[in-house]
Amino acid sequence: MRVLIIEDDAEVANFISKGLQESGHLALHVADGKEGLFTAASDEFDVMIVDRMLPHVDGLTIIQTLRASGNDTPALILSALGDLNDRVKGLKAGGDDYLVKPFAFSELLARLEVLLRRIRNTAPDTALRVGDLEMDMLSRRVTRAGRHIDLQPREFRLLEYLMKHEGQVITRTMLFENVWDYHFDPLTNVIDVHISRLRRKIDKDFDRPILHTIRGAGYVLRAAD
Amino acid sequence: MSFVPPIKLPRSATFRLTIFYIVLFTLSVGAIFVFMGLSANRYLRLEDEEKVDLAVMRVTENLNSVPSRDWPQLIRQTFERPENNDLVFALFDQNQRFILGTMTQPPRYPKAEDTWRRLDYAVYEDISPSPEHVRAKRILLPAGYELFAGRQDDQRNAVFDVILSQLLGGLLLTGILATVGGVLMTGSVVSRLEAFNDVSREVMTGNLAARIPTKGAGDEYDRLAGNLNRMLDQIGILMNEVKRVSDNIAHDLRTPLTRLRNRLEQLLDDRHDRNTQRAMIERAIEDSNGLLDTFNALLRIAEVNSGSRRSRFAELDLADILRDVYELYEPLAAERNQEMSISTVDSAVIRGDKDLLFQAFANMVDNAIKHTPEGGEIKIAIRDVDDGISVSVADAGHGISPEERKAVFDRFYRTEESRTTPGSGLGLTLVAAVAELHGARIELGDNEPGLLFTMTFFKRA
Repeated sequence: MRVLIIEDDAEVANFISKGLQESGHLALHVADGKEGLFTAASDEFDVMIVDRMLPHVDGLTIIQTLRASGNDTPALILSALGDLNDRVKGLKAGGDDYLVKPFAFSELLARLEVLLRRIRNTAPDTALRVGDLEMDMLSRRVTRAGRHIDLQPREFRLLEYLMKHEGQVITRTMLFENVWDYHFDPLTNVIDVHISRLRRKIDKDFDRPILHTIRGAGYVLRAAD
Repeated sequence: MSFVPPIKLPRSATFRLTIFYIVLFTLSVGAIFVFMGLSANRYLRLEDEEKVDLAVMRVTENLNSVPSRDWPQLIRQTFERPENNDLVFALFDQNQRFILGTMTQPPRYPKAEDTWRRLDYAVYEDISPSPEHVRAKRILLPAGYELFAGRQDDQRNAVFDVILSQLLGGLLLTGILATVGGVLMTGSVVSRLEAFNDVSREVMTGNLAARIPTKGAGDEYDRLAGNLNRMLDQIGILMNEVKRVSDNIAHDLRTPLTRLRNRLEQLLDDRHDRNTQRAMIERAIEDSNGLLDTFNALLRIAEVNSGSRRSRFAELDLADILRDVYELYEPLAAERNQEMSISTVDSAVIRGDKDLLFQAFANMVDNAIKHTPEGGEIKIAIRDVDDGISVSVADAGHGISPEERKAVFDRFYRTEESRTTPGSGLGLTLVAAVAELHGARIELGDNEPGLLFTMTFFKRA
């Protein structure tokens, strides 16, 4: 994918663009807010990474301006330690995701890929399918290889999110924000326990696992090939 | 106490105040003295007039019983009495011809057209046959005769002059005394304040032990000195605390950083095969993630402590948040065969920060799960109490001894028993910070056995 990085800190920008390039993506780096706005408006990108604090024009203004002119490019907002959790402000300005520095590259990459492949559907899916795992949204029934799986509400939501992002790495933080709706740093990896439970229900008795752990990053739901 | 003020007099606020007061005071005294002088003058003048009037009255009383040719005699007799020897008089006939008297010249002012009326006072005027001043009046007698009677001024003037010079002297003395007093007072105030300034300067150069001396008089200076000294004490305590916390943080972060560094160093060893290397790198990344988490937690605590998040408070239901926490941790407890139960009220609405409260409750429950043995019981509850809403987590662990109950909220503090368990030691610190931000009270109690952790939120009255 083509990624536009609007970030005035050279080291962070370097870190991001190197990582992106190594993952097979194209990254363009702009260090100035005004230039960033211009570049974003005049060129096509799959996704933008925008820092909040920029010279001349700040990140949120850039996004607001782009949205106002009809530019829908997904934007991930980077924020420095000073504005911890100004998430709401960032999302209201038109941002699509929010990441606080310092961050792990794997987190950034996972979120970018989610942003990239977000399908802008107005109609909600009535059914999701990953491999032989099927989820019927209307009846709230989950089956795998035809066998019914009994899930508790929270497990259902967890599986739904993973299925909607099939093949994408989902970090624990993303799960917290989207499945539990809290911005939260757990002491223990309590999410792991929920995932294990889910795994026991959808993977254990079946021949091929579809819920995988990516060490140091998170989880991915993927039908084995 | 030094007499000479260490700052230029005009700069001193006290001196300017005293000068202002001196001027005001002197003007007031001057006004009083002027009033006194004028009153004295008026009194003396009235006395003069009274005396003249008395003599005139004697004359006019007897006029009707004496033929007109005897009037000069009567008038002379009256005015030449010994007690009237300071009076002047003159009698003029209807043609303004001088008949007799001590005034040699008729005073110049228009002849009245009126007929004589008893006690008809003309306007008092100063008539001045040189060289003396007199104060006299004109009395119309029957048949057009005019009598002028008055009194010399010189005695009165002499008296008035003495009074005036005394008053001026007094005024001058007042001014001098006031100025001297003002300078003395300024000197005293300024030198007292200099003591405060000296200590401030010393503290600023780094000597936190300096304190302002008090004189034991219990006056406003001593009270101010006492308060400032207590403030310096408080600053000393805070600075020590900051130092202690940063020392702790540095000490506790060194360990995981060292571990990380060691792992990376080991990686340099080429003897490891690719898989081992990969595993080591992954663990190194985990270590750094752990460090980043610790730093984030520290920053979060600092942010909560700064109070800035209070501006984002919104209405929320504590019961909902607690239920979410329960639901999140229930699988973890189940894995350890622990029985975790929750008892809630229907709603417990307060103003607060949803994420912070979730984090705080989660830390409380996480701790409970960690410290409760396998198969133990954990009770989460939210209930209405007298002064508010209380959220409690009761576990079946080893509890916290009363001595440690205050220290557990320090950054990086680990109790002996938990020293080997995973954790950064920041969990409870954040809980305490969140509680304080919301004005809630924390209590650590004995669950017999175990810990009873209670956080009480106060209802706004």
